[in-house]
Amino acid sequence: MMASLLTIKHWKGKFAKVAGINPDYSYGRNNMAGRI
Amino acid sequence: MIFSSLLFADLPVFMKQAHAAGLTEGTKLVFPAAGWQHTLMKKEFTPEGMLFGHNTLYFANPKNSATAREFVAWYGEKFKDYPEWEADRAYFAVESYKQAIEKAMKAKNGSWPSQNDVIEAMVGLEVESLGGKGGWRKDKIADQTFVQGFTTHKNKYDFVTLAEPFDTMYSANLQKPPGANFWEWIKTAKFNI
Repeated sequence: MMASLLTIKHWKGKFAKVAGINPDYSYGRNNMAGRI
Repeated sequence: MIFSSLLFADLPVFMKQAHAAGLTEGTKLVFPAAGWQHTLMKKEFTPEGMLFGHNTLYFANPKNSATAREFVAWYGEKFKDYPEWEADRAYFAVESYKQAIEKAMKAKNGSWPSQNDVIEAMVGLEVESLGGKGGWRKDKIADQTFVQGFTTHKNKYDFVTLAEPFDTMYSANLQKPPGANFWEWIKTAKFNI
């Protein structure tokens, strides 16, 4: 969540595409969906 | 932009390969969990300006407590390395348990508490952990202090650290409240950034 907020804070409007790399750890599942 | 939850040994492997392939040039990198491998994130393949998360312990935080500084120095001497957030999580767990025992014992006039006594004593507890303030909510979910910032090569190490100023946020301002559905909460949640 914090990374998503800081991404918006510092880079809002400065990126066109987002690529997610989220391996199937026990942590990380649904992270991309939550962030995007 | 690349947004990734990579945090195990695959993280520095990915970073080396990404650097070799030219992927890190001109790409915004957001790696919230990178701090778990922080001393393996070498300057030679980890760029500056990467949004890098240290979770609940940043070893070089100038605001670290005396206890945290002592721990980092001890860890460095013993292991020739610098600790990451797992050390804080262990400390937080043991310190929380210790304080809950003490609180529960006080409530029972010095008698050893039951497991349920300790569990109830942890609710509402506030702990000063290695990485900063932490606590326990009424639903027994922890709150802790998180650190993230942009990487820099301007340091005395062979790995990246955080440029100052970096950001610190308390999880009470980040995670859904007790009982809430995450997907419903996120639709209307307000954040102070």
